[in-house]
Amino acid sequence: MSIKAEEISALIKQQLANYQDQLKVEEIGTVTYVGDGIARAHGLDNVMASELLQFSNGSYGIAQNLEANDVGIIVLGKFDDIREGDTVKRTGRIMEVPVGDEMIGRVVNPLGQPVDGAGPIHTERTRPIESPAPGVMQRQSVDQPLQTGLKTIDALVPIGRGQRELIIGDRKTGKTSIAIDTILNQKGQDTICIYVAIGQKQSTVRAQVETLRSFGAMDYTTVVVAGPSEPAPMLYIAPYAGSAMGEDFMYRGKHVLIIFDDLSKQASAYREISLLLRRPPGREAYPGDIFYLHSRLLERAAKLSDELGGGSMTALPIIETQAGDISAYIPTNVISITDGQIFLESDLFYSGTRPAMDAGNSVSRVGGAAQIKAMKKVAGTLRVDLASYRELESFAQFGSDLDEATQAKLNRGRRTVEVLKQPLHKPLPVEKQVVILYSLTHGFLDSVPVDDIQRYQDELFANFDSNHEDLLNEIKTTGNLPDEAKMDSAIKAFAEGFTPSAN
Amino acid sequence: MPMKLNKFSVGKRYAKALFEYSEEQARLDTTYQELMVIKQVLQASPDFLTVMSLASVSNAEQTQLLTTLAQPFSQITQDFLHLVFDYGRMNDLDLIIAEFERLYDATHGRVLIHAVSATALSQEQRQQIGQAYLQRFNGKSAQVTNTVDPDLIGGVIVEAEGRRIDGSIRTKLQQMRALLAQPLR
Repeated sequence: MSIKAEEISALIKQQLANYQDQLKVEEIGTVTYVGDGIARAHGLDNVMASELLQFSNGSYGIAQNLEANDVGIIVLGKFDDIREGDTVKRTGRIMEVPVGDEMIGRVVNPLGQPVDGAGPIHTERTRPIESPAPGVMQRQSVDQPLQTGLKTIDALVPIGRGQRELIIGDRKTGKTSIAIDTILNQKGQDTICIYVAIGQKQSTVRAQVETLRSFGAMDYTTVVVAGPSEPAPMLYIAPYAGSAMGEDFMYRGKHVLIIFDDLSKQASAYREISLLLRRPPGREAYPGDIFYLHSRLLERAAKLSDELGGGSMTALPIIETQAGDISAYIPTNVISITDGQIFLESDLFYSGTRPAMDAGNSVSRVGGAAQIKAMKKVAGTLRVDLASYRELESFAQFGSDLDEATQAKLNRGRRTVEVLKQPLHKPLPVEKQVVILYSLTHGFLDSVPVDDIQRYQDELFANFDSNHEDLLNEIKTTGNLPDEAKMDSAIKAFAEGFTPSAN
Repeated sequence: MPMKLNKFSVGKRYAKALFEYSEEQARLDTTYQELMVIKQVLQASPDFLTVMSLASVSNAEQTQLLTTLAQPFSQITQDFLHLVFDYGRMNDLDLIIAEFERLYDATHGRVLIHAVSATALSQEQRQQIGQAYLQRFNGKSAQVTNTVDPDLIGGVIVEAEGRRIDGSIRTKLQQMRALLAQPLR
């Protein structure tokens, strides 16, 4: 190996050429208190709210409380070598993160710095983490579907591009799995995904990134990580930083899916900061502006008007409840902000109904307009079927003498529940969902034993793939249900060849 | 506000009241000069304020001490010292004086400049710094104090009115180091 001394000195020269010998006037203040990720400083008379400040050890901070005598600052990064009496200077900017296509496929921290060990990210643009949400005239109503690939969600609580749909449930009910499966299903859909992990165990995040990578989903995904060992300010800014990265794509006319996993931890981090900054505590010790914390974040998800390029940002915030209590402070807040919620129940989860969505409590307020026509036709009665099944189920446990109509309803209900089950990381394209739901609602499954439903479904799909691709294509391209006679004959032909397992 | 007042707000309030009262009585300069004398006294005997606010020292003795201190001054200053003592704010007297000085300087366009340099500055250099600052920013006259910090290697850091102009060699070297540490594109 030969390294020429001239080459090295030429490189150094080139870098030094950027050095500007200029005197700058800095506005400074003096640190009077530091600890627990926050600092107070005297002076800084002209500082603006949310302005980025720099400490003498190189750490950055954000001005939060502007008071008569001092400024309350949250410190982003190292604060143990900041001392009382150190200087802190204004930067005149508000915090920005790098954005652009270069961020795709990377794992970054809330400051936009890479943490995946794959080298620096050479972005050309940045974007402030806080920016006003699109206004009334900049939006249009949600009308394109965002397919999650999960039958139970796409059929019962459809999500549209630009919608905000909350995923809520206890710990260990599959909230993150729904989010990850939704990302996996965006492959080839021209959608950019941003997964913001807030306070998740680093090992969990690693496993999720590996999952995404192994399914090829990192080709269109950015992961923003704020781990539990990082100071609270990092957890607090993480969703805003993720939104800034997403907005850049949205304003360039692309479709974005952003997942906040989860906002309860962000709320806790914000509570911590607020209490340390001596803001008065309110309900559950959260500060007075905790509603604004989430509303201003989720309001940035939008479907832009055609003049602005028609891009969209769909938000799937996640909230963890304690013992199914959705009337706690943060859950009620976020439920009222979002356009619907997917409610997951641990009882369903442990009885094997996965995804464990509670159909009765889950709604989508705007997604119906975005559902394709074929899906609307086959899924129309599903919700009512499920509701009446749940009602009858409890009665049916007492006696066995049931009339035929009730028996039929129970039968259908059992099969509906079975059809809506779906294994992990196996999202289904919408045309296949339509086919199996068509068979269900048109009674083709009534004669199939419940245990055989999953196998029936798999074989039906294989049969359609090889013999009836035209029907699948028709649903996919037109969004309409093909001629019922054709569908019926195709399914009938398959059903005749299907042999139930003997037991 | 239910929260306890911190000493900075106390200093500001008392200083503002004294400043405005002296101005109304047209005795501002006298008060200022007298406060500067008190400042010197406090610097010479740093225990004085502590003794004045200790509970273990009897009130009579404290009054005695205060009267001795206040004796040579004008009526306004005397009254003020007694008022501060009666309200138990003797501990904050130095902050009150500092704030009064700041108000006085601000109204008279006097700028207090602190210059840090690697070697001691001559009288002429200080004046030049003061002149340069006044040209760039507002103010009528400048007073430059100087501390020496050999770590700077060369150049000077000028601090005044919450501003800092850093022209030290140390900072320049640090900036160059940061620039060289950046990855090549």
